[in-house]
Amino acid sequence: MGVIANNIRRLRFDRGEMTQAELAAKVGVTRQTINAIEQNKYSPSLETAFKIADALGVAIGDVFSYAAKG
Amino acid sequence: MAFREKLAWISVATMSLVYGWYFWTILPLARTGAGSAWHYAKLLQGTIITVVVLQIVLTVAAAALSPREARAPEDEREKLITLRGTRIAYFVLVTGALCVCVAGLFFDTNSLLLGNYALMAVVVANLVKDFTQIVQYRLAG
Repeated sequence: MGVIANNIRRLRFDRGEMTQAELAAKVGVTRQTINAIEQNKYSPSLETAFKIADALGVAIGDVFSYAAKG
Repeated sequence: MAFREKLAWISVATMSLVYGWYFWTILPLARTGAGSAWHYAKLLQGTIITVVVLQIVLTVAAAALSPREARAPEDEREKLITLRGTRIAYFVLVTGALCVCVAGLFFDTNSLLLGNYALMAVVVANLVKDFTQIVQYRLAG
């Protein structure tokens, strides 16, 4: 199993400190879900990952990255 | 706290308090067979109505405090949490049902006691489902 890392916190900061609630509203999930994704406690579905990238105005590869363990 | 976590807490609080009182009251009576069937039926009816009313009132209050979250449908993470809770509760319910079967088949248990044991299995399974959801909400952000 690998680790899915993300840059959501930095990308939110780059967009004028967009709040988790604002991003959540754009993506259509709860603020708690955005928080869980940011902290790598929950891996979103592909659809939600694309929506997050779209809401942040970047490509999905700029938001999420995969690192294989071992 | 997420709105659906609040709902799980409401369910845990109301069910453990009201059904706890119900089983505390009825099980000693059912073991001895004291009281009429009408008395047992009234107790159960009162318990169910109390749980339903309390849950409706508390859910409306929670929704009034965070109306936007209350209107929003479950997102994918919340659905996953609900599914995990339901899966674990299923095993608890099946175990409870098997225990009721064993009590009925191999022990001299009256029908009133068996009915209440079955109800207890449903209540415990529901509590396990709610607790599982709360733990997942706490652990995952």
